[in-house]
Amino acid sequence: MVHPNVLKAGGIDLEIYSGFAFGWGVERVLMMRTGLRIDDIRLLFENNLKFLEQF
Amino acid sequence: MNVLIPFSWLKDYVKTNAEVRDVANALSEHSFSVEKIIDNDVLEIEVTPNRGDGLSILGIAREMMAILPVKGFSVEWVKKLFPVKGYSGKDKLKVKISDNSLVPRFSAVVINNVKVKESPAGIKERLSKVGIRAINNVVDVTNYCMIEIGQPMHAFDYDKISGYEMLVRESKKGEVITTLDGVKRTLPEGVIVIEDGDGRLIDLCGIMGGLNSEVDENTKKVLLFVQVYDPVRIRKSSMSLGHRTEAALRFEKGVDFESVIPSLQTAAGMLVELSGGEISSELIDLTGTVYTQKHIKIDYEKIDKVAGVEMKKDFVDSTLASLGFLIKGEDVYVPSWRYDDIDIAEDLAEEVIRIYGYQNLPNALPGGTLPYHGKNSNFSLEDKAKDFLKHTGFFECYNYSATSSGLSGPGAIKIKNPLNADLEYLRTSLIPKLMDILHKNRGYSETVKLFELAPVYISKKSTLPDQPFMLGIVARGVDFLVFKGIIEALFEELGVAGEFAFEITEHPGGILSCEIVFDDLVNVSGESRIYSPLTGFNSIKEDITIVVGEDASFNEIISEVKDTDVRVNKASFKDIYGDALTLSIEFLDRSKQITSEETKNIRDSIIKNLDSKYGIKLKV
Repeated sequence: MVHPNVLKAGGIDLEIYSGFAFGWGVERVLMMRTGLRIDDIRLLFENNLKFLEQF
Repeated sequence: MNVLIPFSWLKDYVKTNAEVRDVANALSEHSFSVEKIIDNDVLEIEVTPNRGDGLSILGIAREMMAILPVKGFSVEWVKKLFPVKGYSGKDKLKVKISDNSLVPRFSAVVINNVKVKESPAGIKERLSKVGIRAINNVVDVTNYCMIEIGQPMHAFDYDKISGYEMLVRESKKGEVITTLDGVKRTLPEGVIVIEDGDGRLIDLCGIMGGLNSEVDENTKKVLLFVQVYDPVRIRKSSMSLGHRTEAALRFEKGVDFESVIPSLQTAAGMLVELSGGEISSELIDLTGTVYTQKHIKIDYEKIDKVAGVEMKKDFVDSTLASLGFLIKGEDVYVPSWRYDDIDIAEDLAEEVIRIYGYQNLPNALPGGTLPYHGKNSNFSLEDKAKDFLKHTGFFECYNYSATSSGLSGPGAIKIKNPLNADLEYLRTSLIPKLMDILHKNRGYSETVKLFELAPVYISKKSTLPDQPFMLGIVARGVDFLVFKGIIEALFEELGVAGEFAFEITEHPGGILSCEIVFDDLVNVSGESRIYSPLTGFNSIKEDITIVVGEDASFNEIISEVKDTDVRVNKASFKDIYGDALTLSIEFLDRSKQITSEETKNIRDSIIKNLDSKYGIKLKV
């Protein structure tokens, strides 16, 4: 849950609202996608056409 | 922060029928993530920064008392406090603390007739399991107690402290101390240090002891020294000196005020036992800060609200009790080891709910209607542009925002603390790196086409940099006019009204590049189309060939042609040979059928305009 101080700092009324937050790395999720098993996250940023042409 | 906690050591504190794997699972589900189990004994635990109390055997044992019963295991606390016969003796220490905020609690005792030697095998084995090097029985006791109780402590050679005097103060800029690891360190101002009677610095408080006061094989009297320091200062000092020790890592997260004396007692007792010494001074305990126990008003409704499910009062009460909280009427008293972590009702809610188990909370999506989001037109245009380029055979590239100095483009912002030299500057252009990628992929094919749609960073005086989105396009083995045509077709696809100026740069090796401020393109793009009703009247198409030089750009020529007469419906490129440019022109009158006489007149006007404005003549 979002800490009340964070909501307060954002000017949100704590009596009315609470918040939750979560996140995950876009790249890591892609690496796990069914059918893919990309083994090295750096491949996504090397821009090797032998890699890119597969997508 | 990761700590190594042997299950075998935990069993000094807690008797349980759970096995090491059970404990690991229970901790991971309710307290801290156990990353791995080494040799079927040592738990590698990732303790979150708010839980300084979890960085010790004692801390993990406390967690086990609360969480193992929830998992159906038996637990019983078996550890007893180390007994000490009494503190008395002739040895004295004169202590002056310049500022109480530096050292909320200062405690020490002197132990005489110490025989410094190797520690027994059991101690050495435990230290080794947690990754600490055994040195001698005195130093080992301080490290052993730090790991076991979570209280860092230090042992000085009492006789090396000049005048048996200590002044705890802030350092002045430029003061020097050589620490136990032999490194000479120049201090900034504001680091907590101890000065002895001769004005020498003998301790880098909370981080590492001084070499000049270290315990060695000749030491006869030990000053055992247990403190609580201001966490903020310890972190600042440790970070600025670049010296991160196990002690500093614990102090900066906050150490239990109330554990100081029990820790001293344990360490003193162990030292006496292992080194054959005896206590030769009174207990020195200076409390600069008054520590009062925190209490928070209990709000059962709030806990239910945060959990989204009812937490029965009995469960709340017994859970908090199992974690060391004391409920007196409407108030919950926070145990001293959670002082830095628990402040508000939500913190209590977290304690209750994590023991309940997040995985036991019901799965339910939030109710109500979904909030409406207006379409963000930038995203759809970005998508359109990317799809279009993909379909015309371009590969999309993702490059880092930070580059080496050679690939950043001109005027790039330099990063103060880059990860490495390849990531030192924030790029001002996408093209250099795209060209580099082009070069790296030269073996792929004769024709290589790349693009990137991403921000660059343009430095501005006295304010944050601009971060415009740029569309960078590069190609090798593509004809100039084809490259240009693709970009113009992209504009059409995005619905760009009118002209949009862009430049293509030619590089050696048949490489072309173009960079467009995408935000500018967005401003002139439109998703909506304007429809002109079809007319029944026919158009007349003609070609004209003109001689062109350097005087006018293609766009200027076309504009001039179109502006000549409203009945010039279309004017486009047909061919170029040398300096002879052939244009296809379509004449259309929507009000009546246009005649070839009328088109001849318009054509003459076109040629006259081109000549007078740009000196362009018809090819003969």
